[in-house]
Amino acid sequence: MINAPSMDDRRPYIDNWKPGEGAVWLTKLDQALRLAQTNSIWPLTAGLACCAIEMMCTAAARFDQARFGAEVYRATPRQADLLIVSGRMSWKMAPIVRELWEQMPHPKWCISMGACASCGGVFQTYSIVPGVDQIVPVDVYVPGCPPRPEALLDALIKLQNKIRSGQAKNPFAEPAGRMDGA
Amino acid sequence: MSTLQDLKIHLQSALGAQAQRIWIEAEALIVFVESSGIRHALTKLRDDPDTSFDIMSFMTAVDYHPRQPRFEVVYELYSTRRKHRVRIKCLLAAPKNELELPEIDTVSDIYLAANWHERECYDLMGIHFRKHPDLRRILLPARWDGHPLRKEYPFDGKREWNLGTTVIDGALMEGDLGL
Repeated sequence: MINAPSMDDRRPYIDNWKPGEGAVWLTKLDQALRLAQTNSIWPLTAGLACCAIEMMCTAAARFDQARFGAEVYRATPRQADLLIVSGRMSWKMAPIVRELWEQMPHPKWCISMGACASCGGVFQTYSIVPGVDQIVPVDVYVPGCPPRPEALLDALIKLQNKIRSGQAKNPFAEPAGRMDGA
Repeated sequence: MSTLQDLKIHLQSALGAQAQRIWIEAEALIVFVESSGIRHALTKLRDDPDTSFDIMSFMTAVDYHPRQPRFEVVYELYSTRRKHRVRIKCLLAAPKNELELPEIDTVSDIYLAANWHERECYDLMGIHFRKHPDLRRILLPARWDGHPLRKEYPFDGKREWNLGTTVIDGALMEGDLGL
């Protein structure tokens, strides 16, 4: 049997709030901004390989990425906050992904989805980038081949925790490798 | 030419001394041809009404390092009229100078399908096709260093390419924009 909430359980600012009554929180601006950024991450519609199928599944009804405010996949990098590198990246694709990353406005984050994106996976070969962190700075790595949608959601929540607590990578962070080969 | 054996006998007489070796293995007819006479041999096989090999299924190359001659160029021909196929092989020695590529004549004007296949061979195996109309890389970026399917190429790549700073830069360097 579930007890009805007592007066002690009430949250003063929400449950006692009446229209016309003012409610004021004091906070720091960057904390408020981080709260907004945390709950409105817009990923970029960019799929590289089979992990992209799981990424689409994550956004669809069964797993429903919208529960975390991250369902608005943008088709242009200029409106996106999050780059999900979903799949193996070839050296030929690397400049294009880097270009997408640099077109995204700050602040921006990156999830490396799957074994191939994180370290090259089974593709220990001349044509695949051994870890996309040589091309873009990565906040969260997701293991799996491909990762389940739950794993991607877990990565998303971990990223949200990092953003909320201010521990996400410096948005101006540079990747480990350099595109000009220097 | 009902059987492979008949085709073998016919090719022996048609190609004459050009067929260095000819034998049947695993239900495939294999002919070794001198690399300098590849154009002549393929033209003959295509135009001879008894063989009429009108389609090149594929062509490729194999690296048999450290054997000499090192490379083998393989042409697989098929006849849609006679329903038979043949595999033509050419031996190619690697030049003494490591920077030079082994050379063979292009057959892209005899079989149009050979055009892209020869580009792929050049791209991955580093075989130069003389008089090819457009011999440039087809799969790898234009600035790629080396030919990765060769035996001396590092297994997981060299990892030191100049990728360009932007897509536009890269496209300009590769000539993809036609500028």
